[in-house]
Formats: sequence, structure tokens, C-alpha cells
Amino acid sequence: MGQSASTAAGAQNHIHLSKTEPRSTSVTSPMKESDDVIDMFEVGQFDYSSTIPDECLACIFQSLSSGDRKRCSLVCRRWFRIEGQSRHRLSLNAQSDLVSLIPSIFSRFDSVTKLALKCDRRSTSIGDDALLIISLRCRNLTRLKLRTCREITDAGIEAFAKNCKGLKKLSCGSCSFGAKGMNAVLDNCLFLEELSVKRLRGITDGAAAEPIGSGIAAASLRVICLKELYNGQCFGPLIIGSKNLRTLKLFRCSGDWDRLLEVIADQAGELIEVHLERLQ
Amino acid sequence: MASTTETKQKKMLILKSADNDEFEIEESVGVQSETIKNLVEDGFTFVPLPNVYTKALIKIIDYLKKHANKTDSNDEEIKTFDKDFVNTTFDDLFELVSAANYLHISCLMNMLCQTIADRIKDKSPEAVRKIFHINCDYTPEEEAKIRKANAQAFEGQFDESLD
Repeated sequence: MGQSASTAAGAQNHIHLSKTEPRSTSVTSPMKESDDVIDMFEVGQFDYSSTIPDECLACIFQSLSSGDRKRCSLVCRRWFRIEGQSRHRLSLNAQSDLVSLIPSIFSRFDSVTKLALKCDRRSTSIGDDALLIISLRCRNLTRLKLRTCREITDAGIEAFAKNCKGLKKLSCGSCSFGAKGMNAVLDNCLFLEELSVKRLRGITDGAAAEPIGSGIAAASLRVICLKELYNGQCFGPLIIGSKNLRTLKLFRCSGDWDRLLEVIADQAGELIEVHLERLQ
Repeated sequence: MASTTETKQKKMLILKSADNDEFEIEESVGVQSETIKNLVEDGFTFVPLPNVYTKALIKIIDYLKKHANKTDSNDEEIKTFDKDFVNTTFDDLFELVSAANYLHISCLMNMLCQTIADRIKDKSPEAVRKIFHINCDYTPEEEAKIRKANAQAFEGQFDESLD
């Protein structure tokens, strides 16, 4: 395997001694004593990083924080390209005006597998249209985290689930969709392993809450975590139906959980961790 | 140059650097490199490495020898060795990382990439350009556009936890 060609800096890939220019004194690396071997890397002033293949730069970027990666994208065009292509985790401010930026964001970051969409309480979040476009551009998504994306409805979640069937983890907090959207995820995402739900408003509306069934994700689900749900019992069929569940966590979920817990206890499947906190 | 110890029982390999220096090493040391391992499996005992210069190869052979003798008791010793190994200039690190990549020595690759990352973190784009002698090929407009996109859509930090 050879070195991948670099674009902008590629012309400097081959170092000629004649290209020697004075070394900047601000360079942090100290000069070393000369030795018998001609060290081509100390001779000229050139883009050091152009001598290393794209995959090495990508590997370096993997060890950097998001903020550092942003700064790296400003270094030059090559770094911008490699940083974008090698970014697997992306966190976006999910305000409604994000929708116009989605095409450019996801052509820059075309390998995203873990996506977080977060909106703040005071702003209007992205809606179903944005989530649909995202799902079409990121079909390989394995993790999705939604925070305060109140404009997203069951229809948006359903469209997303149909396009991103490889999802392994879903975490949503303070969202407004309901049982229908949740069921769409469970019916489409065959590999779903972890589900975390906090303050899902959609399931509290209406007198008779629609039950959330196990769907095809029942076989793969390992972890279910429910927090601060008013009508969390509607997840009962899912919890009971998930035969390979290993961890169940319930935090501050109101209502009667006794019957459900009794059924789970009788079942005694794979479940090894049950965490209950402040159930009322 | 590096290892000339003749051990009759042990299978030996000859590695040839890009500047035509030859090094004899034990096969068991060499096969920590996937690239060398594949060649050995194909029956080669003479391995030309046209992408690896002598200076880097000497260091890498040192690394491979040290790591080939890994036992439960010399963990600390290897840690100290590794620490010294990466305590070098950027230009050395870049030459080594390219060589490690070509040779497919993943533990070395990861260590070198982590080291380089640690050294460039928290630095401004300007500082990084200076360190790496990169000429900025953006127009001011392009750079401003990326700055704006970076600020607009992405949060400062990616929250690793998905809870």
C-alpha cells in the first residue's frame, strides 16, 4: 500500500535539497545534531504533513477533540478534506435554521456514524424535513442522540427509522414525538442495542397511551434506560418482549411499576442489572 | 549496522532501507509488522522497504526488538522505552509515522499519532501551520466561510456520553 496522493500539498511530496529555505526560528522542535545519515526532513522548509499519508493524518485527528479538529480544518484544504472525511462523531446545534446547512455539512462530513442533534429550550428546533434529509445522507448512522428537538414528530422519526435501519443506539431527551415514532424505530432498526428515553412528551398526551411494543429490535436490545417519564408503563410490552435485555434502568418514572417488575422477575432471562431510582 | 548477532537456530530476515542499508533481524521480531509478516508468509527472507529510510528503520527495529521481548515483568521498562521513543522532534515523528503506516505496525502507529495529536491540541490553526510549515492555501474568504460554518453548526465539544 502506498501513500495516498495529497491534493493541495502534493506538489511538495518530493523533497529536493535545492529547495532549501531558511528555517523559521519559531519552530518548536529543536534542531538536532547532524549525523551521517542525510535527514531530508531537516533540510528544507516544507509541509511536513504532506509526507505522511491521508490515513495517518486521519489517525492523528481521531485523537483530537472536536474543538481541535475544527481548528485543524482551518489549517489548509488538505486537512479540511481529511478531517471531514474522517469525522465519525458529529454534534450539531439543531435549531431550525440548520436545515439549510445540512447539504454542505454532510458533504463535508460524509462518514458520520454517530450524530447528536441538540437544541436549546428557547429555540425552535429542526423538524421532520431536516431529520429526513439527514437520514438520507447518513444511512450508516449507528448512534443518534436527540435533545430538545421538539418539532420532530412521529412522522419524522418513522422516516428516519426506515432510512437508518443500522441504528444501534438511540437516545432522546425532551422530545415531543410519541409511541408511534418509537414503535417505528423498534420495527425498523433490527440491530438496536440501546435505548435511552428521557422526558418524552408524546407518550403523555391523550388518555389511553399507545403501548410501545418490542418490534424486531426485541432480539437485539440489551439496554433500556427510562428517565422522568410520566407514562413510562407504555414501554412495558417492549421491556417484557426484549428477551436479551441485560440492563434495565428506571429513574424517576411515575406510576405503578410493580406488576411489570413482577413479570420481569418471573421471566428471569438475560437481565443482569436492574437499576431503580426514585420511582413514585 | 543494527543487529549482526548470528543465531543459527533462529530464522533471520534482511531488511533493506530506502537508502540501501541492510539490517539483519530475527523473523520473530520482524513479523510484528504486518507488511513484513505477509512477505515472510510468501517465503521472502530479503525484504526491501523502499518507503522507509535508514534513520527511521533503525529506530523502528529498536522498537520491534523491545516489544518482541515483552513479558509480564518488563511492562514498566517498555513504557519508559516508549516514552523516550516519542520524545523527539516533529520531523522525526512524521518520518516514523509514515514508516509505521507503511509497515503496518498498529501499536506503534497509534502511539505516534497520539503523540502528535497531544502536541498539536489547543493550538491555533496559525500555530499548527507554523509547526508543520504548511502554507495556507485558503483565500481569506474561504477561511472566513469555514470559520463561520464551524461556529454556526457545531458545538464546541462533542459530548461523548449518550445518556
